[in-house]
Amino acid sequence: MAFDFVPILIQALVAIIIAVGVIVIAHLIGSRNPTPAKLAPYECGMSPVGQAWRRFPIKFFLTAMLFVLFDIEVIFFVPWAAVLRHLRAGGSEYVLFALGEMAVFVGFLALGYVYILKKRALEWEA
Amino acid sequence: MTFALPALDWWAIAPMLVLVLTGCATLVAELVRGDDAGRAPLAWLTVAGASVSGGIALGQWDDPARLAFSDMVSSDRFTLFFTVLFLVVTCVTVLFAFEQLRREDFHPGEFYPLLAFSTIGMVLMAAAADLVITFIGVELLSICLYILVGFSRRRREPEESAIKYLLLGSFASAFLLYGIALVYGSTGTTSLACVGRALGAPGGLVGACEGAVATGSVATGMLLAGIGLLVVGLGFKAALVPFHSWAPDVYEGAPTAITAFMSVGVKAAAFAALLRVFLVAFPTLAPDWSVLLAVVATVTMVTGNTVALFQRNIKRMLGYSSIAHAGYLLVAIVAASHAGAASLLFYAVGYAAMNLGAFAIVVVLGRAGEERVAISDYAGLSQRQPLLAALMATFMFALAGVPPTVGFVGKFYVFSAAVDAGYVWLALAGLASSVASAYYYLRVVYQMYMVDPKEVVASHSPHRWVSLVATVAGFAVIALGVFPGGIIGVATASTSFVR
Amino acid sequence: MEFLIFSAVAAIAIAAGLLMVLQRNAMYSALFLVVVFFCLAVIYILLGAYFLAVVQVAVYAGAIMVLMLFVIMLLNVAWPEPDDRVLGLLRPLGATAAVTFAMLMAWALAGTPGLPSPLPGTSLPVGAAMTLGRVGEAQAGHVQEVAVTLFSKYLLPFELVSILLLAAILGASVLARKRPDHA
Repeated sequence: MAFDFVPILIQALVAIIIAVGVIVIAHLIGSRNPTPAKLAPYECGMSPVGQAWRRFPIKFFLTAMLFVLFDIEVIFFVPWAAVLRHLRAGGSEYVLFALGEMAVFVGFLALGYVYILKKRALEWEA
Repeated sequence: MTFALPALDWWAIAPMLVLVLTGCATLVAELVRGDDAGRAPLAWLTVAGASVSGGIALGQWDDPARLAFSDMVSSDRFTLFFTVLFLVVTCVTVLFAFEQLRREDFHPGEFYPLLAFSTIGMVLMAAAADLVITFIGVELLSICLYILVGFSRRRREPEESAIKYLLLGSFASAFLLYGIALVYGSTGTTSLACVGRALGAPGGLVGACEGAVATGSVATGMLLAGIGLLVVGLGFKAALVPFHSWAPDVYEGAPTAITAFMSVGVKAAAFAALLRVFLVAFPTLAPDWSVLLAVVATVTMVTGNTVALFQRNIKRMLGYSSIAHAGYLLVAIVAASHAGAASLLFYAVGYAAMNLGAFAIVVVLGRAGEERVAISDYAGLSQRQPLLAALMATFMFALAGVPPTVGFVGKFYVFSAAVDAGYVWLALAGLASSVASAYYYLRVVYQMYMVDPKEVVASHSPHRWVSLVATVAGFAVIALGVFPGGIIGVATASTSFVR
Repeated sequence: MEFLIFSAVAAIAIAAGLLMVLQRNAMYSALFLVVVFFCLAVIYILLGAYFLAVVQVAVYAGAIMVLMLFVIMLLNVAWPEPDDRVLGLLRPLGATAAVTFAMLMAWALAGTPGLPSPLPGTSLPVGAAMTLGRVGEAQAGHVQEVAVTLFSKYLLPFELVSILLLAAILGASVLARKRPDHA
């Protein structure tokens, strides 16, 4: 039932309250004494160079795209895992069937994975 | 909660399985070899796989029609007919691509697996007995095409056309999915036959319709909205006006092999899906949608033929011409009859022959970097290459619909089906616009025979395979025009599910 | 109670959707889109489509948002300068099209005879229950129910999706590969 999700709702609310609360409290009780050095963005102690907005290499994009694709693959594991245990009751052929199904599914994606490894799509300097 | 082991009717999807194996085999071969040198094995592997797949499909011709895999796909003569057509188109595309990509000096091995996978998508669109499969077929085809369209190294136009196709195609997919959701919401099922039954269509191959609403209790408003969205989604793939704006740019920018593939194969797949969806799921609503489609068909024919008059690039001209032909094919669906469906199948075959032939000539005459694709480049071709010029003239006459070619017979069947269905005005509009189309087709013939060549061109490499395709296509265009009976008989047998 | 949650979440979703469209900075638009995704996930839960809610958060709010942010950064469209001449014409046209479409859908849904409420004892508006009504009706939103249907009836589409993903993997790496003259 939907009420099973009430803890998640409470957690989300607590997270929002803490996040907003910290900012508000910092604004209310913090003392402000800005200097140019303090206002500069923090970059690991180095002085900042240029803007954060610049063109990113397409490698980021490729990595993100492959992440989405494999993320979609993984999401199919969730229902599969949820049902596999119950299938044992039906007999071993049910379990084997489900395993075979997932093996075919993963097989195609494994081929894709071998492909991107071999084509060095995940290597930064390729 | 019961988990029933579904029946696995492998034989019913055997042609597709072979294509899956072909795609994976070419991918593995590409990985093992991994160099840009030898692409010939990949090309031949693809052709071999497609031939085996086509052989199986031909061998299944006398199998009983049935639904397979929990009523997801139908294994019937309609599926087999389009499977064979798609496989022929795929093989021809491989031959084109092999010549052309070698010439371009840019020949990634991924071309062949992607082509095989997109063929699976087309077969799925024709075989779909469930809207879920229709959608997956469309997506599989589209995703492969977004990549294939951009396959070129030298220029920016292919990338631009790929991006345009991707953006608009994604919108179209969303419309298609929304339409499917609304159809599901109003009927409680995505199975085409079950939707048909809920709407009171006479039986046929109907599977288990659990969850479907009872006949006659369908929410009509939502269903009509869904049908409208389906027209948008599939109409985009078929390049119907007003969803055609991507087509000329993409056809011009893509490698010629892919342009040929799209203008013949993808279009046929979109119409196979349209026919399945509208004549299996919604035949009882024909009075509602056929008027809408008749208007779309008219606009498509008129726009395609009018704008084609002004094109100077032959690929672009053929692009607009293929939009016009999409209009003719849609007329066959508007008829919503068995004769109309059979005429669509016949026209699809004839159009494949004449358009693939025309593109074969474009490939033979083209040079690296997509040069020599202006219509004026064909000036004086009859003096330099009389055989090629004669073949091109044949294809142009056929596309214009001049007897005794297949173009004439195809139009005759399509328009007479429309007249039988009471759409005399639609047939007249089609006739008028196809008469206008003769102007731009014959302009190519005029250039070839009446104008002197601009330049002396060095002799070409022989292009054995592409020339063979052109010759076979030229033969088919005439043979099917003179003896249409065989294919018409097969097409009629393939559409027996339409009443 | 559920109606209250639905109303609140739907209102937030609509507001965030509007803000997303009206932002000039694409980055802010993307962040508002995350809000819309989360609201949709809550609505899915209310409809009993739990698996879809998980997918919505994991795939859409997670992976696809990452992709979108990367694209925005890749294109570097921090300060777009809209051409007011073009937009001036397009805005009213787009608004008209959107309103027409919304009215058409409202008409289509309003003309629908009441479907059974997705969850017993809840009172969702018909329009909201519509998209997933039939899924909820059979309580099919539970992950196990989804799994049973997915791995038996929808076996073929399930396997085809893996081929679709394989094609997309190929495509992604072909597109991102360096070409000799672009290097």
